[in-house]
Amino acid sequence: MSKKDKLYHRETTTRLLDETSPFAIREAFNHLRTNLMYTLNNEEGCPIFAVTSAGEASGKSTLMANIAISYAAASKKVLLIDADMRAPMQINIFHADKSTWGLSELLSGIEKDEKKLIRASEFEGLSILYAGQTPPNPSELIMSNAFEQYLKKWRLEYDAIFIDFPPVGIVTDTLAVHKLVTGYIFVIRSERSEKRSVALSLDTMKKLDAKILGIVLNDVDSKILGYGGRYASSKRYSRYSTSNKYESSYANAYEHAYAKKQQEDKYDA
Amino acid sequence: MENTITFEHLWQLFKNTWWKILIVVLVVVIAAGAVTQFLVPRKYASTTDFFIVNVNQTIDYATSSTLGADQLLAQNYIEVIKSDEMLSMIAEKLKTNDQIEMSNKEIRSMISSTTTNNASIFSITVTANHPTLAYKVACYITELAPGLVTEITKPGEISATVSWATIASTIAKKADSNPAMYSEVALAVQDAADKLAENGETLTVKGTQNRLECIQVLREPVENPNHISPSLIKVCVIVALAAAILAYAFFFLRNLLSYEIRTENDVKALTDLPILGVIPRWDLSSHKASNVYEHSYKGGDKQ
Repeated sequence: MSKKDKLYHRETTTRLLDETSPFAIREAFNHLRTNLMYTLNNEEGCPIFAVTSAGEASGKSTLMANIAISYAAASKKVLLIDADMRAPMQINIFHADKSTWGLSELLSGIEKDEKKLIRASEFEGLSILYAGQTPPNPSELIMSNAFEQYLKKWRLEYDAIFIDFPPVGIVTDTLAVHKLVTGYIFVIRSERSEKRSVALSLDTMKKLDAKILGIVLNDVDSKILGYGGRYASSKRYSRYSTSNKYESSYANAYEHAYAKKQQEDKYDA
Repeated sequence: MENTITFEHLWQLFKNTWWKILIVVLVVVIAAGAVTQFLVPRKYASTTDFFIVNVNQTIDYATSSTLGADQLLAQNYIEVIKSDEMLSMIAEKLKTNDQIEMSNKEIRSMISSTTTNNASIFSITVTANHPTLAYKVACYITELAPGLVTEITKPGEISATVSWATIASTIAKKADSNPAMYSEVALAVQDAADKLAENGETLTVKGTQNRLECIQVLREPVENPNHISPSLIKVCVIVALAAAILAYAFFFLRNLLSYEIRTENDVKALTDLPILGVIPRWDLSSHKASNVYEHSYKGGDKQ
């Protein structure tokens, strides 16, 4: 494989979490999952996490898919919604048929039975609602009352909902529904996201009082990432990358502590 | 937001880089300290003070003009001490008594002088790489200077032209510290000065100074075993400050000129929002993915 081919391969290959994923990657997602749980501040009910970025090519869709997989792996019932109807990516990431119907058909009323549109994935606990065919009016569909009603309904059925929104720096759909979501996860891609556009996007979100849960710095070179780089290349830890036995022992410990605290709070209440 | 540099941005940058700056400062200070301590030659000094003597001075009060005259004399005497004649005598003494051969130029470079304002005193400091050498040269200066200066300057009558206004203002200045003694005199002189000034007249004061010896040694030199330079503390403080400022400037400029976000620190410099996670680059060459979950598709990862 030539250097150019390798580069193309790297850029065009979807990376989804599984038991063969590198230890450092799995730990990073477990850590992110734990941090997301802590951002909820004991809020009850199903959280709705929205992901966005300043611009294209931040890796937010793949990241969102992996967070959803990570959540589902923690025995949660998860719904992943691809709300980026202009440039749907989840259909590619999960290798579904491109003609698959999804959110646009549901919100426009072409298909009223959402159960036909929400697909079970290869990952246990993870269901996906693809974006569907690109409509002429995606903004109107996202801001429609129907979307709000469906979200309310799905909150009762799932443990967590993840919505993949378009980049906030490009279209306004993302912020139009900020009151419907628990919070936004803002994705920045290392060595690609521009400071100026990120600053402007965050500024816009703050002005609209959109709740930003935090930042995820994506695709960081291991050489400039001391912790991940060290662990990623560690022989001591690399053997865990092919075994589930030791997976995310630290992250799980945090999550158990978190779950225990939630139970205690519930009991106290 | 990005285009405006606020104190908040600067503080945010400092919060993220202070430990790097500290490391830079520590490394530079240790290096500078080591160089100062072990490589830079130490300098030792020996100082002697001379008093300018006025015997039978006809002007019996200290005015700015008399002090100015002494300052002028001090400058002259210092030049005499640094003259080739004096330096040759010192070189000869060093050669004879101490078996040290030094040129006039080398000895001149060792001698520095200071004059004291409002006092008829000047100091000569000899700096050398060895305390004994500095002391010896200072001793030879105290031994030879009074005689040579008296011989060269040949004191005689001096004269100075002083305006009444100068005298009046000198007395007026003195009146600040001794009002009872001077204030009435000052007023009288001022009055006389005003009257004379109307006619454009000035007073010429003449006096004769018959000096027995022009200068006398006020303080004998001593051999000081403590070096005067380099000062380790001074060097460390200056180097630490300079290193801290330069290190911060470096990080500031690097952050300012950087176009893209690379690390967590770049994010922290941009916003106070928490960083939920840092996902390392997924090197697929090391990822032995299962056939089920690794998917390739055409068109690229647009998001």
